[in-house]
Amino acid sequence: MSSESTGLAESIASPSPDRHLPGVEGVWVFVFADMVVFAVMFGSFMADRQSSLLLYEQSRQALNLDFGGINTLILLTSSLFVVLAIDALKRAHSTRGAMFFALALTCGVAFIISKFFEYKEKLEAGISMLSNDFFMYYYIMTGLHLIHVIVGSVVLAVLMVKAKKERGQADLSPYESGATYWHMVDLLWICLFPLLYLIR
Amino acid sequence: MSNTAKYSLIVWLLLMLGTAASTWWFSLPTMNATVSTLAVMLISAVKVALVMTFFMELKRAPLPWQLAGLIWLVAVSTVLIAIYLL
Repeated sequence: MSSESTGLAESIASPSPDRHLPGVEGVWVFVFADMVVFAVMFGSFMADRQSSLLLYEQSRQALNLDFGGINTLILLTSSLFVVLAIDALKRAHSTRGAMFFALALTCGVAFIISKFFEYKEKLEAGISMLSNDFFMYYYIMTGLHLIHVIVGSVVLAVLMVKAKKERGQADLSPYESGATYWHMVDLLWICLFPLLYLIR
Repeated sequence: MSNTAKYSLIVWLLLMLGTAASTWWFSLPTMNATVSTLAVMLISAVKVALVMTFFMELKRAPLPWQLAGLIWLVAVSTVLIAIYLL
């Protein structure tokens, strides 16, 4: 075995003390498991798309690109606020941390409202989950993602209230765990959005 | 402003620019469909890498977790692009 691969094996076996996994390890296991489930759905969608290209392309054109794009910008901004909240809490600025969590929560709620209007627009146009395969994937994948956003928004609300009550240096573990979950929600949307709205 | 906040703002700006380009530029009907789709997929992969590295702080995580993130990203991107090109 070369010295390079020995070094890699050693770093896996005994990680450097300055390396730190934010939050609780169990949350990361859940996050990666969730990401694998979504990855399977992405692959399944792409494989089915190849068998009915025309239907998928016509259906994609019925989606409102502006809704999707703006929702992406909203989620990315919420992720930035979460990063800033954690940074503030690391510096024992709990009030500022709570404020950034509130801003992130506002973005989460804005996403939910926007999604509600998007679904309403589709349903009023007679487009449902039963319309065709594309819309079955559309409602299932965006619906599952929306559930994640709702759960994440509740988590952000809890963290905001908790941060408000902090005095001095906070234990960062619950905040980092919540932040990791929220970033995963953002990350999944970054993959989901081009698949459904942009791929031609 | 802390260094973390500064870097995060730069990353956020890149993410916003990537999103705007994917949504409102590469989607123009005048663009070649295959080229624009591949560009959009690559931009998305870069965005995921940025979120993982800087927002989820995988850059400071132990190596096995960094590898898990990298494997997920490479596997998903490769499979989706391969299926698209088939």
